[in-house]
Amino acid sequence: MSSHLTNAPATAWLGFLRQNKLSALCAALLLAITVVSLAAPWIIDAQLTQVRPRMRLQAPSDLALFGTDAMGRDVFGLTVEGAKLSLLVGLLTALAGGAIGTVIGLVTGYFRRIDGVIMRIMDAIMAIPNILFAVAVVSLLGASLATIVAALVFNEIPRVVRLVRSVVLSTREEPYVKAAIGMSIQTPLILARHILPNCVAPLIVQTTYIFASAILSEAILGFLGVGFPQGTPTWGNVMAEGRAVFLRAPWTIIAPGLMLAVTVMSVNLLGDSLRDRLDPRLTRGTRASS
Amino acid sequence: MNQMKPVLEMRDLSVTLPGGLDRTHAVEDVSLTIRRGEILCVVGESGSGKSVTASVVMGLLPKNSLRVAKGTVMLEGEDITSAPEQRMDQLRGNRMAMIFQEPLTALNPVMPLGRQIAEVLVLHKPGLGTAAIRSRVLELMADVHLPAPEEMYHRYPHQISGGQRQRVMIAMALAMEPALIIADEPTTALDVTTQAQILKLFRELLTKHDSAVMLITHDFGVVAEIADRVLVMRRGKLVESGTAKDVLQSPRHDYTKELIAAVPRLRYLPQLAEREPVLKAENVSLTYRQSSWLGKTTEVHAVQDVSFTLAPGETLGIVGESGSGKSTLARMVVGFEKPDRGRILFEGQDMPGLTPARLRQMRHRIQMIFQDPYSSLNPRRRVGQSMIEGPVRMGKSGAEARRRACELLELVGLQPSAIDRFPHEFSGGQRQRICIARALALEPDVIVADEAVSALDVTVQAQVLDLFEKLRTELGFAMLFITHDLRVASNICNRVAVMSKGRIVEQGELKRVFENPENEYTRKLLAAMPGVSEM
Repeated sequence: MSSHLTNAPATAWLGFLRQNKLSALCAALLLAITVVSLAAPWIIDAQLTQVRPRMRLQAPSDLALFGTDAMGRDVFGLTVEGAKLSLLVGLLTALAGGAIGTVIGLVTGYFRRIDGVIMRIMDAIMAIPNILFAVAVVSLLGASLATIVAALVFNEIPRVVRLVRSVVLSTREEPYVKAAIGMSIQTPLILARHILPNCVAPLIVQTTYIFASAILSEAILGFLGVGFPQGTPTWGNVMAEGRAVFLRAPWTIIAPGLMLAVTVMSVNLLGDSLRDRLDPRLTRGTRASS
Repeated sequence: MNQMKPVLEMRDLSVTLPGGLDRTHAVEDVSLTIRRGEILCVVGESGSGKSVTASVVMGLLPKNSLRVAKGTVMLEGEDITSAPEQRMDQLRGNRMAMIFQEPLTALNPVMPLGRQIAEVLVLHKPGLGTAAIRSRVLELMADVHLPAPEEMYHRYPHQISGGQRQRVMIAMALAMEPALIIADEPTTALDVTTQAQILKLFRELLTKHDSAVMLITHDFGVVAEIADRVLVMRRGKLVESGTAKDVLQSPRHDYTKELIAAVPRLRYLPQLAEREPVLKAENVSLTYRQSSWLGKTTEVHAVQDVSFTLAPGETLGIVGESGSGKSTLARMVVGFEKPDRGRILFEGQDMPGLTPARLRQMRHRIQMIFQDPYSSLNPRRRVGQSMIEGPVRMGKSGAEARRRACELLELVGLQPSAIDRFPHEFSGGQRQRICIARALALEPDVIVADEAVSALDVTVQAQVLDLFEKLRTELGFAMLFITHDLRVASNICNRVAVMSKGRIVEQGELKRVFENPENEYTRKLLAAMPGVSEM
């Protein structure tokens, strides 16, 4: 029932992207957004994103590609500069959430004795509305990259734990795991060699979703005014500041909103096609039968 | 009756395979005829094209990979080779029906059995009233000898046994009184006793419903039991055909001879001289308790009061039907499960009573070989990685373990180069050899083989049994050989213990148990062995 796809070399992945035009497009978009956001200091004139009262609420033109906001800052420049923090929040949340959730999931799935307790804790965490929780944490501890990521990770852990646990539960009954137990292999090795590899495919997919939802959550926090300090360019903050002048200058929200939508959609679509590619049930070749 | 036109007539059928495989045709120039009231057995190993032939008749060929290149298929005189899908829909179920190997997955798990049978009638006979359908379903259930049809009607697939599920499948196939029933390995997943009953049922229904049966099997034992005519296939080609009697008694083709020779025959190994046992079970019991949320506790006595001894170099067979507790017993011996009562002594030490640390030092000396060679090797790890894992844990250096692994691979009849390949590159029989080599790498004193050859084709089965015997004489380990197949047991065991409902009902020297069974259940098992008396 398991796939052999994880052994596929990099060339197979390139082939996969070549066949899936949509996935290739999404990957290219994400790559472009990342590169542009990293190169922001060199491609965006720092002056453009300074407060320039004379340039208030300019409509998109040759001078300002996406127009300017209520303080005369260039919306395009803000969007590009904001991408870095937004992407960083998404990436850190996905990596930390995935890693912590995987460890807890492996342990809770394999050692049945503590399973009940841990899973009830996870249920409890899942019952907390995540934005509300993040608002509370940020209000208490102050807004910084660490607190925002921590608050978002906390909410994502239960979903990863559930996913990993379910894979562990089915894999631990596989004869090859039994065989390893029968050979007295140490438990950490059994988890690492025989069980963890089966979790990788669903994990990759899950982390892409976390990535997308963390970017959205950060934007929501910024929009609510409890994200990064005002003035820090993130997509959420730019949109929050544009809210007041939305009717007069809709471009202040449309530009970062569009970037957010494109990024989240790309990540989600890429996650979807990764699942199709990695799920053995969907990609299983025809097994030769008589 | 034989003067009538045949139910199925196939002329020079060829089916092409997609490019890049080891052969170009799945089926090549196969012709066959089945008349009313006749059972035709199509025999061959996996990959012989027998299931593809059946799929062509049913119009179930996977469209994008296989294609009928030439030939005609006539069902009751109608050419259905290129009949439109609409017509095939009418014919399937109505004039021909198929029975699959795995009765559990072929039934809908969330629909009562009666309604599943009724569905066939609703689909194909829209005019029939509810009451008429119900009475017809009950009649069909009685026909296939399902006990208490009224009660069975409302049950779900998981509540009945494998044999009963197969009976439900047969009832569904019979619902529209089809002219042709195609059964693809219908008894392979079943116990010997159930298999015998199902085969008997086929013969009985054939005369009652006046239909024809095309039965696909790899087991010449089944052929001897039931076939009127036989067709032997190999690598897509027809090798030999004729009446069952002719083919069985005077096979012309070498391959047919090989297949017939591979059917395990009864053979008695001598009992070994008494020696101090290496493994001893004393009054072992295990009961599974399950309490529902209403507080009701159900108990399943999986193993009850079982005692046996196993001497060094000896093979003890544990035979019984599925659900007899033999696999639970095996799991207890290797320490996956702890008995409620009783002791399992390995070299005088009670294994389940050991501390986890002590158990870890001991347990590698009892190794298990599993039934399914596909899932007992980690698909993501190379053969060598799987094989050296245990010895390295036992303190061997990686290089030494690898060298030994190469030797063992050669010993089990594989190339040493297999060490760097992945499990999916091997066939089922080869994988089972790898599993055996992996177990041997730990130099065990006892090997527990749980249905280790049951998932293999007969010819491969014979080879693996030979391998076990060779290794046992060379390396001298003791073996607990668990199987539902008495023919297999007779080929490898010195002594045998018969299990039924969690208890050992009879135990003793193989020849004595097989020739003079004392227990009623043993006699029943022996009587159900397919094809032994005829061959």
